[in-house]
Amino acid sequence: MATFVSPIKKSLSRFFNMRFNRWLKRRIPPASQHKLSNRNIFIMPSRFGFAYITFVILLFLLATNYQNNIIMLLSYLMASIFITTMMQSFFNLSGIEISAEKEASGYAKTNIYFTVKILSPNKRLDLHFSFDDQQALHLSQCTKGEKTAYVLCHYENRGVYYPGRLKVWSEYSLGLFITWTKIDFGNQCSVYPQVLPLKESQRKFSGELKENSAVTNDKQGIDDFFELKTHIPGESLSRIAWKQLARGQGRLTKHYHEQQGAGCWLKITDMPNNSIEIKLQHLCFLVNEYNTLGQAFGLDLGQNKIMPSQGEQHFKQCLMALAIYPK
Amino acid sequence: MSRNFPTERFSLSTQNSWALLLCQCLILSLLINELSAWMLTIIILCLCGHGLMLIKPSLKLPRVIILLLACSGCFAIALSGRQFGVLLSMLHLLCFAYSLKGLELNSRKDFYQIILLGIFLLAAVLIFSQSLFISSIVVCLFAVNLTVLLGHFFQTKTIKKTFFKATRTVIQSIPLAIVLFIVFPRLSPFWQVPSAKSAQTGLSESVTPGDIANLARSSELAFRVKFNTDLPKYNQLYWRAMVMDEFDGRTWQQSKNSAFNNSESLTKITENMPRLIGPQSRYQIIAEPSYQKWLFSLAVVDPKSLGNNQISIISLPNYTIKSSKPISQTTSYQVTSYTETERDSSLNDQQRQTNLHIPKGNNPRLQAQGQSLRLAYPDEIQRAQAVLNIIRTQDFHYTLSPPMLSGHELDQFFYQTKKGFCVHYASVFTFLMRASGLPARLVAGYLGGEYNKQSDHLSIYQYDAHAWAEIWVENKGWLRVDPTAAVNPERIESGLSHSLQQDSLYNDDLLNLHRYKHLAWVNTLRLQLDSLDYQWARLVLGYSSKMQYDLLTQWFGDFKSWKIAIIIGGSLALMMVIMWLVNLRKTINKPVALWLAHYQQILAILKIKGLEKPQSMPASQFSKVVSQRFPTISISFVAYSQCFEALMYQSLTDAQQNQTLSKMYQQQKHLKEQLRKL
Repeated sequence: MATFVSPIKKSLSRFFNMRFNRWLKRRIPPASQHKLSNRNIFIMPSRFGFAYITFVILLFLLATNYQNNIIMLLSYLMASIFITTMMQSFFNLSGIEISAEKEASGYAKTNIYFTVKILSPNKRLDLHFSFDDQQALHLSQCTKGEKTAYVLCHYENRGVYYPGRLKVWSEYSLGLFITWTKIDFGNQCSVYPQVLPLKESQRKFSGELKENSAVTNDKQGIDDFFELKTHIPGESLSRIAWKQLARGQGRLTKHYHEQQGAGCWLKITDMPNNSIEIKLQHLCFLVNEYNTLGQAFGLDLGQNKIMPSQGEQHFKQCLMALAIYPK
Repeated sequence: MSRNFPTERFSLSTQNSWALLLCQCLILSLLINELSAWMLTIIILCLCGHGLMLIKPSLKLPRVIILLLACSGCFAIALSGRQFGVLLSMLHLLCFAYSLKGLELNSRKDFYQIILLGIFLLAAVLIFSQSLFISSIVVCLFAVNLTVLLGHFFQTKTIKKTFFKATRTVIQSIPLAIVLFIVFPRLSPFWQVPSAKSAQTGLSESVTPGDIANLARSSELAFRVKFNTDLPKYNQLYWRAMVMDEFDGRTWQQSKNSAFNNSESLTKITENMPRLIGPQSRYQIIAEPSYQKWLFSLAVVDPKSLGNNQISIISLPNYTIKSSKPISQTTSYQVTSYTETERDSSLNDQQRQTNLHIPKGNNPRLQAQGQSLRLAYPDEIQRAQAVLNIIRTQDFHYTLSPPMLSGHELDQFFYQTKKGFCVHYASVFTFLMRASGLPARLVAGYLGGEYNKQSDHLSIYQYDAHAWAEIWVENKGWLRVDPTAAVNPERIESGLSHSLQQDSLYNDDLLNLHRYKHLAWVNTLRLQLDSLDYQWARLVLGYSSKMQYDLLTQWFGDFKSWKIAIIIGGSLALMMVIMWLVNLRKTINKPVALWLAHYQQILAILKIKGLEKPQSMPASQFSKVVSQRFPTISISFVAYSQCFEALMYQSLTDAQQNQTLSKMYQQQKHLKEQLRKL
């Protein structure tokens, strides 16, 4: 019986979800900033709220059977408090302005955070933020003014995800109601492959160094030091010549010979292991390593080739290419 | 949603846990009187365990022990269930669960359960008492309970703030609750419920000389009366409760014949009902719970006037009235009496026999005296008068602590000790009358009452309990004779047994205001409280469907369900609108708009003069630009911008804010003049 019912139930709930989402899209269209008001706040009694109302009815029956006016008054008071709490829980969300960073990126199986800015006109309590099927962020209170919160996304696999609408909810004041809204910022989350380090032995096997020497005209190795230049703010900290800094010669940056060269190629075909996912994970590690070393590199993913270069933008571009590599 | 993730382990803040424990203690302490001693011990142990767990969080009771405790507790309650009755068993179970639950707060569900259980226990307190005092305590504890609940969502440094917030929620909700109370239709009980079976209070079903003495020392309220007609004289206020016509030589009690209430006898009453004549007395009685069935009235009650009451009242052949169920909560009923109506112009043989019966050989001296009285005074009224004369002229004393009697008690009292109170005198008188061949019976009830001017009502306390006699005279019916009047006329004429006051024997606690009646201000205060409590009993406890009907027809013309729906809906909407407006005032921070508006006015003028402030430029930088361009207004503009910046970006206290704002306003005036000149 259960096996017969559950697919129907599932498809029914899917159908209603779909209808609801379509309706929600019309009701709360995507925007970069949302102000919570009666247009987009929903209030539903929580389970405890339903239990509470059942309890009030029980109390009313008790009072009627005992013809006890005071118990009756108590049950009316509780019913009235139910309404008051409903208003309070609405006021708790209404008037808050929320804007969120549209894009976030990170590695698979790590926590990726979206920056959410909350502008609240006065003190608000017990706020929760979450994306669909993601862990929620709980702020026990939010004081007047602007506040930044980081809402978490966690993905097991690489790819580009749309986490969907940001759900904001609160159970203030007595847990009788869940006041919630689902607002759309058109968020996009780029998830790069997990970083899987290459062992020293595997590295040789990959023939990475061979590639290097073939591409670079200069015969010098990666660690070959070329010159020291004055530090320009923004340059990687890993390249600061700490020895010189300690000697009091000022902040200098080490420049290596390879940087003058065309850089090396990181090829997917060179990666050990047969699985594409693991190859990509190794590549992700190498991309990170080369970037921290400040070394120019190119990425060869077969169809998609990225010419050797360096810098933050190039780094992101490479990671993105890894993320969207066809599965 | 977070259903895929393990949610944080449920825990209450330390402060909130202590608040919960306190709340538990307070609520349970209200029920101390109803709980048995062993249950109290278990509850105290549970609460102590809870406290210990709070002090030492590492201490944790294994589930098995809690389960074992729960099972054994339930078993014990089930065992003593017969002794307790249904209601008390339920109460024991609830209290036990409530205290035990505190040991096991592992999830939010447990927390919610304990909160609802607490509220349920508060409701249970109200089954046992509905006085204004207890009701206000219950509402306070309700707010404390909400504080604990609110504390879970609203974390503040001090619990006081949470308490104020919870109290505010309660107060905001009161108006709607009152509207609902007044207009929401009242239903009749759906099913029979076990009623509270407390120890019976007040008069008992049987009277032995010496009984009422304890009552006479209690200043507990018995009932209140509000007269719709003129207030009768004090010495006419004989509140009849029970007629005792069966005497076994020691104890007076109601004979089965007179107390019966089957339908046959009821029809007989209506047939034999005397013609009601004389002045009419209409009054409302608000009886405090006595856990007994008898009710109070003045003779003779018009049976037709009993029909409109909330409770069903039976009128008995001996002209007393009785409720069909024990009075377990404050109950009000309306009665009309005709005080000068003749009762029973004829007696049937059975009645005559009952009212003449005295056990053979009982109190022989009195029996002999009865015989001689019969010969000496053939006229019944003269005979009764003669006995009263004996009591008046011989050395009889009225006292609440008479010497112990044994054997032929009435003989002993009448011929030896001569010290006693109303029951002694009424017993002896009735006995003598019966011995002399005159049908007589004892009546137990209350005499008089304290008149409260403020709310125009009478309060009758337990110390007003009284016993007197009734004799039956041919062609006159039953006549009331109060032998106590012969020995202590004060008691009858003005109430307040002064002899009792001399005894000063209220065996209640020291805080009892009756103790300090002689202090004028205490007495005024006591009467005021009494009046308040009376209004509470009359308007709130006594608010019945009939009262509701009368009130609503008076206000709205007629009683229609759509009108009630409109009233409830309307008040709901009104409450929501008011809360909305209050919230609006709170969120819209007026001053912000004010200084920004000021500044923008000046900017607009400057724009006309040909200087526009770029959006991104800070006010301080812009003031420099203005200074370069218009050196004449430089000083005032810089000061003006400083004020604006302070208001805009610094967090100022309200006082500072007002001060800066007024300064800014003055500078603005000055600035505007200068700008006009440019």
